[in-house]
Amino acid sequence: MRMGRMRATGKGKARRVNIAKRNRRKGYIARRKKVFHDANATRAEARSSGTDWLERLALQGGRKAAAGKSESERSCEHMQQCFNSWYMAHAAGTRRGYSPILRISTAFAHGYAAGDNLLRHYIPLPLRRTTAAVVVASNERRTLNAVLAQLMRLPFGEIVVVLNGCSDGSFTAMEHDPRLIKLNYPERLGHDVGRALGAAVTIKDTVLFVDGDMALPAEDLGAFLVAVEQGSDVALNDITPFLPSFAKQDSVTYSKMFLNMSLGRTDLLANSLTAVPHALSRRAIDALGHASLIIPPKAHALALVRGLTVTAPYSVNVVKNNRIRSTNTGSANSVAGLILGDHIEALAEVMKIYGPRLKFTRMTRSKLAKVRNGR
Amino acid sequence: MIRRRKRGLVPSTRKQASRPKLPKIVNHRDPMVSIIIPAMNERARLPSVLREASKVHPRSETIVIANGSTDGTAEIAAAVGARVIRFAEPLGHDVGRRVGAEAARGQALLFMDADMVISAAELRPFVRAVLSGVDVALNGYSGSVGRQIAHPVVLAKYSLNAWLSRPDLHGASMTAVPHALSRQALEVIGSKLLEIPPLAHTVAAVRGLNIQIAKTVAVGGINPVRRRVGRSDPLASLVVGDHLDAVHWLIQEQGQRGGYSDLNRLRGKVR
Repeated sequence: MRMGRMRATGKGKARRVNIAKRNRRKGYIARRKKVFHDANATRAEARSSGTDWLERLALQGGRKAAAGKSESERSCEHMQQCFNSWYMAHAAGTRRGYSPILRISTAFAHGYAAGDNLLRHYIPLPLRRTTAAVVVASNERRTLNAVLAQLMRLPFGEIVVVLNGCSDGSFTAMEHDPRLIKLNYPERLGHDVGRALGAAVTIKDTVLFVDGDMALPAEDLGAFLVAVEQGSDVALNDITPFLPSFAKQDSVTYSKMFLNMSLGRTDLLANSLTAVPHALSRRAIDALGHASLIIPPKAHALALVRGLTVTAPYSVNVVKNNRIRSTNTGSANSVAGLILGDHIEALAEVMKIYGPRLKFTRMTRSKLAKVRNGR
Repeated sequence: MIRRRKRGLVPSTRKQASRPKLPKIVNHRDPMVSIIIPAMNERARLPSVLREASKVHPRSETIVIANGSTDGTAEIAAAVGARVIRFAEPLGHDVGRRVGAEAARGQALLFMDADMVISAAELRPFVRAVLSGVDVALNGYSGSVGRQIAHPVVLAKYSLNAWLSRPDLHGASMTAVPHALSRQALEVIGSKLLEIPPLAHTVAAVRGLNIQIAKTVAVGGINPVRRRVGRSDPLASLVVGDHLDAVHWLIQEQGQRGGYSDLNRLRGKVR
């Protein structure tokens, strides 16, 4: 026993040294990646662990739910229904983080699928609310199908695909899935307009927003649905682990941080509705109005001002995989200008409510001088 | 007890010897450079500050705006030979600078604080920049930026420069000293706006004045720590509010989006 433990320590040390060496070779990208993994792991650890027994129970629960059902009776929807009622009966009552929920869900799916590949990769989630996804795509044929394939793995009631300005026939496969709602605009709608249009056609309780140009694993996307289920109105992607030091950040990041800071939410750092993926509750969409989503920072600011619960529950690295275009690279790119303008517009909106200085001091300079330098 | 009383009664020769000799300033009759120093209860540091100021430029005048002082700040400034403008009430740095700018006669206006001593060698680049064509010569220092999160004031400065399409200025701002203005800059901005430095900075940028970082003087370490009110820092709140005032002006001047396009969003499609 003792020997074993010592050996493990030795191994761990060797591993750490190796990682350190690799990091040094690769520069700071490798280090950032490590931080990213740590971030979600720390989050998982902070919440209750020791779900092994529940996972075993879930596996059995899954088997039981599928037992006696014919091939045609077993479906993703059925699995989701069974999981929901199983979770209510066996696992509800304890507030769990996303990570243990995902482990329980995976175990249930394994039990239910019994070897069926499609069912095995489905992720049932404990959701009492109805859910929808909004995907905006414009000439993203290469990635759109992959994006949809990931979304199909989650218990969405609707998947709204907003196509705009597509000349490449972005919409090919998947056309027969009953969950899909297709909106097709021949002209380019412009940035973020598609999100607002997508939000307008769905009446589901929780709406997840993703882009058609980047397929993110369903395991990651589920976190935002669970966050809204657990009380968030606005669940943002936490990009903090990917932020460099302040000196190396860009204008867009400063703008996002400033908006959060000026509205008293320094803790949100640069997390913003500008970034995907994020999820909104029905309460948020109704309070903000879907039209406000056209300018994401404006909706973000209004969400903070109107007292909605804004959180950043999970980190997905969208920086790494983002498609490189001529318009989004370089320090003076046009998309950066658009986002800066969005933030100014957001500030203009909140200034209408609180006045130019928002909630910052109106103490006169004379009074301040007296406080600071008086004898 | 006895010793203490004795020391009070007998004038100590040691103490007098250690007191620094006051510098001597000669204000030029037709100054090229005006050095503007607001001071409130700065008896201790003022002589050293004035000594450095006197060495900045041969054709200069030094203006001390003594405000709200009860410790003889004005008398010391007058004894040194500076032009002194007195106010019984405290003004604050920024209002003091406005008052000084209105009294200034030089072509270049150098603004500094009385509460920190910066050497003449570090002050000269600001004056030199303005005399060679720069309108607003700023200090490149803006605070600590090594971590992910910076102080709200630092963040406000960086953001404002980003929105003014001047990311190259990083966190340089007219909020910080030392900085220098050309007479033309003063006329374009208007002395009144100097009371809200980020607003003056914004006007300067939008009106196309030549704004440059002249030198980086790390004033963070030498800026004395001040009294706070409770847990909040009223100065930080004031400065961030000033930046918002500047953004508000930008919105009024350049429209809702501060002059940035939205790349043809079809907003009308959403109803």
